[in-house]
Amino acid sequence: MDISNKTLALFLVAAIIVSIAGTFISLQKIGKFEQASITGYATNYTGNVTLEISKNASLIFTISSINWGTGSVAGGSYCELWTNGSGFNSAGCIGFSTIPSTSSLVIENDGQVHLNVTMNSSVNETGFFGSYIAAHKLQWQVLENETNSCFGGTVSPSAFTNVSVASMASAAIVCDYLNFTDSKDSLLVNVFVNFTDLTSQGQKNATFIALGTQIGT
Amino acid sequence: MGAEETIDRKVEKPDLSQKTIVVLVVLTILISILGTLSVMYEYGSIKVTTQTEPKTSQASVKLNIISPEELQPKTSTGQVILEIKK
Repeated sequence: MDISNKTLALFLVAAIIVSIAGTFISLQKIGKFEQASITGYATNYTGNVTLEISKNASLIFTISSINWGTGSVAGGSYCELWTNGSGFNSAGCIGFSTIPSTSSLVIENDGQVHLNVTMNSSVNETGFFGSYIAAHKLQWQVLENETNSCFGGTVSPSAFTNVSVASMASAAIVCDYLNFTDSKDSLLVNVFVNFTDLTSQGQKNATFIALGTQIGT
Repeated sequence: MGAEETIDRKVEKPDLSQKTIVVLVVLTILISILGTLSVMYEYGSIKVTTQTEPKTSQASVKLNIISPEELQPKTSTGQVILEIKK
């Protein structure tokens, strides 16, 4: 089968087009790669420079438990337990421990990136006490444990507020910009509970879950 | 005469066939395509991670409620008896 020179020319043109297109696409890819804000760009072409920049997000409760222990409520009365300040147990509380804010929950950003922190609770006040009574309270308050920990951002709630039991996706934001600098990277979570002598007896447990998502670079 | 024979031999020297050229051109296209795909694959496999994974941490709040009676100090009595006879 003879092939005309015209066909040969078409093949050659196709080869040229494919080659140019390939080069063009590759260059475009390289261009996008360079725009990806890589740090540590080596400008010295005379030697090999190998570097690895690693950043981790890490969020921990450095104090992860509040346990008021075992106690009861005086007949016809109620019991309020607070962890703020030096701690407070109301007159109707019998036998419970007093927990000051220095022993309350502390969230710390111990990674190398700033974090948006949300928090939710496994139960609300009804779930915590096992039944609905209007006086039942399970509330939290979030404060900066170190000045400017939530720098440029908002710490919330600054007053005692019912705990959030929303899903993690829509959990309450407690600090929208938690610093990672060691001297200012922690939040204090105070807790307040209120119950009465009508509250069912037994062990009461709630788990608070804090979620830290990187914000900024 | 000798010179004419030399010219004739040069004219008769077989050139590369068109089929050979076609094969070469097709090879060129294939190599070009494979090269382009290789470059694209390599760049596609490079991942730049600028966002770290979200992290969670947990804390617990506990208390145990019992009846006031259970908190009352429990008492128990015992007796020591002796009799002294003179």
